Amino acid sequence: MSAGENGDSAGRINGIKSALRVIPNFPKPGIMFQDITTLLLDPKAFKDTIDLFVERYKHETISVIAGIEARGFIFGPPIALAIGAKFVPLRKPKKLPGEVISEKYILEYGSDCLEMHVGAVESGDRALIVDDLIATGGTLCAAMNLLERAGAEVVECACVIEVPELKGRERLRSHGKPLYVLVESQFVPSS
Amino acid sequence: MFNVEERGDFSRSVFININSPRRREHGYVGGGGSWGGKRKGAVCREESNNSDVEERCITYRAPYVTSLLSTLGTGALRFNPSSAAAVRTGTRYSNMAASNSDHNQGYTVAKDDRISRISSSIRLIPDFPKPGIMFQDITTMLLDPVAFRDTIDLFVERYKEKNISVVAGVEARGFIFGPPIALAIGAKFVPMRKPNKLPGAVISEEYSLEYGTDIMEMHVGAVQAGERTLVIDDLIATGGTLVAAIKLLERVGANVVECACVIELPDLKGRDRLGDKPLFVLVSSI
Repeated sequence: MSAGENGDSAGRINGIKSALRVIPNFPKPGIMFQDITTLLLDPKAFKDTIDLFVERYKHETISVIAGIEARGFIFGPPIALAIGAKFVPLRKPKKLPGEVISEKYILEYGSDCLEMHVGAVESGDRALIVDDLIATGGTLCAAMNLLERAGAEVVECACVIEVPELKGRERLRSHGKPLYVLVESQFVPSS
Repeated sequence: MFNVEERGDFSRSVFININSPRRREHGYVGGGGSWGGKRKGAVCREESNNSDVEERCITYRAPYVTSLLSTLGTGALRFNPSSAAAVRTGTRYSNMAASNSDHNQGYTVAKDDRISRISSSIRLIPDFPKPGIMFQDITTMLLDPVAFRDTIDLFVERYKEKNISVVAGVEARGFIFGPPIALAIGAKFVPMRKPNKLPGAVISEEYSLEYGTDIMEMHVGAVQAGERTLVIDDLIATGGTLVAAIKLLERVGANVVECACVIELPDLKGRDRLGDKPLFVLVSSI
């Protein structure tokens, strides 16, 4: 589901949506980049963003918030702090010191890898995965695999923005995982 | 005059108890009760002939006891297992404070009962990212909700009444600590990023690494002239990254009030490299 279906949240959602900015042709031609940094410049909208997630999860006995480098590091920790959960950073290769487990995933061209610390997450942990945006869902699925390999239960994936045309929600659903987003954004391919 | 004590439950930390007769001669800040038992991280101010000498209280990690003992003078120390809490640097930080021209910098290393839990929650990883480097890993602190909460609270308590309108966080670990602080004090959060990550118009600052250079970027229009700004990162080593962030902010006319980090590596002299910019840290680690 997405927020905004609840009438109480509508005003906050509108404020959040209008604080986002779209940058055309970044990082490459044809891509309309959804920029959350302008949201971070609006303290009320940023706070509302966090509050909407916290309200949804605070009674769900979530013990782990996993945030995907780097913009997941901006939204994950405030949620974790508010609900008393651990924050676990999921990082690009070779950034985490010490022992890690790795999950490879496919990109449009080539592949990439996501890593998590051994021991950060335990069997029985109930986890949320947080990122700023879901596009194809490839990164979130890699994150999900890391957490499940470590024995955690992934309760939900939570993002500020969804680009529905890229079908990330369906990809997560095929793994049995629900998705919660605050706003949907239009993907407008260049002609 | 110093007792070095090792607590069983903080097996990686060494606490140094003060039993100095000097404390009866001079006033000290944050006293009350027995020095050792109650005032983890308290600061003692000692007047000397020419200048104020501040002795700062910091928790040291067990691997560094050897270097600490050689600094303070082994003859002054004896091991005495007990449940002491206070920690002191004695000579080392006294010298540092005396060489700092601004003695009114205040408590630039935090003093607080919460510090020992925060410090103990930080993990050391040897030989990362390369041999000889002892990496200070804050991810274990993020797994301790009380320690993480206390870390943020200590920064928020310091800055909430200071009319700070911008918290700038350095990628990527500055993104973990900066936003919670910004949210709590009602400030904007501005990410300072590696090249080609920020979309739209940016300004760039090149800075030196041990080998080669790197570039830091900030969005045009994120910060206005005159805004009171903090720069946040997990750790200050040589200070090169923080100086780059300060330069970017000052180029748009911002007023950088202070730099704040969880951890300082004082041997790398980052504090000196910041020049007249104050630095506030929670934990100082040799």
